[in-house]
Amino acid sequence: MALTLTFSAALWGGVAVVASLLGIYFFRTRSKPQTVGSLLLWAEQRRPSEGGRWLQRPQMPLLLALEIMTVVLIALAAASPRGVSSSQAIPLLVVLDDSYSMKAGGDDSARSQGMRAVEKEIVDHPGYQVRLILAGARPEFLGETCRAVVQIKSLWQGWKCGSPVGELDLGIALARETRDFSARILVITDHQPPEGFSDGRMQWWAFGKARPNFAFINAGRTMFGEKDRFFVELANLSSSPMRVGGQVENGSLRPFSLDIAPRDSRREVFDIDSATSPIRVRLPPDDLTIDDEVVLLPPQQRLVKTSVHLGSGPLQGLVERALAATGFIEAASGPADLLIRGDVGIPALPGLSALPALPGLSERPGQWVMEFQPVFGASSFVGPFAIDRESPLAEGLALEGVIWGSTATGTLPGSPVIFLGNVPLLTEERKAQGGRLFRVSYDVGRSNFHNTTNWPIFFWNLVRWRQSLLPGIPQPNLRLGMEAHLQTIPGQPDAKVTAPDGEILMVKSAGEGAVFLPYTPGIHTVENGSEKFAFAVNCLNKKESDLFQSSSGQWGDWTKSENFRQESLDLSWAFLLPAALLLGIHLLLISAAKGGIRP
Amino acid sequence: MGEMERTFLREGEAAGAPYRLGVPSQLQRGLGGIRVGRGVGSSLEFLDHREYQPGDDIRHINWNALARSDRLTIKLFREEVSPHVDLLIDGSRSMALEKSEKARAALGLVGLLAKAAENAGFTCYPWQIKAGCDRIYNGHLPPSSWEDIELSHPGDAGSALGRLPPRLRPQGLRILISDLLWEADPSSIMRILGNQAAAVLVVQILATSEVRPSFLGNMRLVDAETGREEDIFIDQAALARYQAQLSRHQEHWLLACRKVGASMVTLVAEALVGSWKPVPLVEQQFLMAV
Repeated sequence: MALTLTFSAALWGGVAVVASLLGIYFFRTRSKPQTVGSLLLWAEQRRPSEGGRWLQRPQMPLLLALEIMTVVLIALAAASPRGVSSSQAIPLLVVLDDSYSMKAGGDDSARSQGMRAVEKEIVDHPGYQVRLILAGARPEFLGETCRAVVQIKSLWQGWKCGSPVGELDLGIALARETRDFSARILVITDHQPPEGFSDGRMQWWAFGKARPNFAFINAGRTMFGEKDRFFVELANLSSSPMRVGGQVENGSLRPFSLDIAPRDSRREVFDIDSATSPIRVRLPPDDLTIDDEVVLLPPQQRLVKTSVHLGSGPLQGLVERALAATGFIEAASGPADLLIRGDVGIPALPGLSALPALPGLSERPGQWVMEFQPVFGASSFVGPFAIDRESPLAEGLALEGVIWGSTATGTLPGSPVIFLGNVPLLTEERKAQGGRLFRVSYDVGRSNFHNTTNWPIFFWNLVRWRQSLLPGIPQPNLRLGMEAHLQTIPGQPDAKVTAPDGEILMVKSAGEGAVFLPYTPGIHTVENGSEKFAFAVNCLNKKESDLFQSSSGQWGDWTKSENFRQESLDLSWAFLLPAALLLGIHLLLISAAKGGIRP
Repeated sequence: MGEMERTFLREGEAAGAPYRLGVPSQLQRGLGGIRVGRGVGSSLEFLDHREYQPGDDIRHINWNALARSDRLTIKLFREEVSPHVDLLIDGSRSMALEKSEKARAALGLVGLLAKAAENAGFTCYPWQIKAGCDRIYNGHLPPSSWEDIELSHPGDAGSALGRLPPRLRPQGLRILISDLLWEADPSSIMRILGNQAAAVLVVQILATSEVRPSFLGNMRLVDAETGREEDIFIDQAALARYQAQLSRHQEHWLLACRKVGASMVTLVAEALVGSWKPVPLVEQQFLMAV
């Protein structure tokens, strides 16, 4: 049974009393030296029963020994000793800081020390029921409840420390919600707790160490036509000015060197020739290697395959010019990503909700279609217009002063995007596998919408929206901690993501795409059907790379909580009983001494 | 021997100038000398006539009386003797008790008695009792010229005296100066001193702290000779017991002295060095004014 003193300040009182007792005995019984001619005449004198030369010979008066033992026992009892059986089951929730700064230092890292400390704690208290919680950008449980070190060891591999932030507050909140008040919470991190940390249920163990570090804190790659450029921003997270050298790898090695003041950063822009290959920028390895390399993939130029079928009227040209102005389209030679069609001379009846299918323009899964509806008995209107600002199509539109020619009555299927009073002018309808059908009631002869700036804006919105939902990953370069959005090929919802370390993650698209969180810096590859995509993840977080504030120590005391009093036994009696016994012996000896027997 | 001891001897020698050593009646015998003895001797001073007996020196036959009376008579002349004193001083460390005047008093008294002996025409042999009894070097000279006298022996002078007694001159005066704080039997010591002695004087010198100790409480008493320590609680009762113990010890010595016809006086060191008037010795006529 482990013994814990919940009021250890009482021991200081005991120490003070014992010291006073010793002082009293010492000064009261100390012998003063006196030289005499001979001890002959003093031979029959009485020797003192207390004091004397016990400093030279360890000879303690019995009464003093009894008094000291009694005081010590009473002090221990006053310290409120409580015991917890080693076999008693106690829930322990271990919140593990999953940020990458925990890996600084290699074998001496906070992660390694934390693992050893947790294992030792479990060995010392076999009754623990341990549950691990990873506190990264968002908290999550790691494995199931464990009771043995062997089980814990098997879970450590899941503690990757790859998150750019360690949201310990969220992890602690999850721990509090998981179990009732009886659970103990242990936080393993590399920095000290926030000000005012005082929680009897929680202990905070930090194993960090202030270290200098050079890190990339920002990086980007852009392409302007045939010109490719990228930039990196480096931070000197140390206390002295340093010159840091590195190299750019883009088919060939290109060294560079930068002088950076302490606690400062510098941004450097590079022009590169080979616009298709990935770029790697490396720094010499230091205690934290994860932020010493940046990989940048070239920006993807994804064009929307469009097909416009609006007959011979002016609308065909207006639409084609607006689409071409975006710069993100190409004429579809096969199935189009975006099909714009309208009244091409086929008679349509009033009240018909959809155009009949055009020969050779049948919809394919996931295709976007915009239909210009035939207008009968149209009139011109200047409003009032109502716009669904939630729709990406409506971004930047301003319809004040716009004349819109349309029928005054009637309806269009789908969710309205632009209203004229209560008459929908533009609607959106979702189709299977990410397809969308937009219906527009627009009489080009009675309108001036196409002569305003709203016209190119409208088609820019349409094309960019469609482009963002093309299969693949829109952003090729991600920061660690950012979610990767994968737009899967219609009809191919399953994708395999291969991390730089070879770990494979299977993702499944739900709705229009899949979202997942990559943990490893480097180039990830995605296989989706017959298509392959790639994206790069870089560790760019100045706050997390800054190891200057790392520290070590232990804070908190479980025995200070009210809960500890419930899970432990009061052991004061085990000290008070012997103390009472010793007091009795003391009284007996004093009584005997008064009777002539001196102890 | 340090300068301090010589100073004490010189101080005692000066104090002894007004005194001469008293001659006890037993001391009117001895070797031929300059002093008139009690017995028949060979001096020129006529004492008496008696009849010749075989063995008498025929040079003293009164031939005139033989011619007148036809009887052999002899002329008796007064004996001339040379008195001698042996001064024995306890050389143990307790005689130089710290924070007391015992050393000054002891050495000063030796010097005083030696000077008084010289004034009285005594020959004087000073002895120092350490591991054994040794004649003090240059002892035939005035005390201020003596050498190698030190009160530093870490042992009991009584046992040394019993183990290696001095070769004392018969029919001499023997004076022992000591604190007598010995475990040895006083009778055996006195038998040694009293053997063939004309007179024995034992002078006990004690410090005031030994005669009337005033320390109370828990004391760690340190034996000046052996360094042995003893923790003792001293209260008024303990002091009374000490006084009784001291008195009993002195009585033992007095009794032993009486057995051999010796005299014993006790001097308090601090009182002696205050005036250099050894009143008890004068009262017992061991010292007389010149």
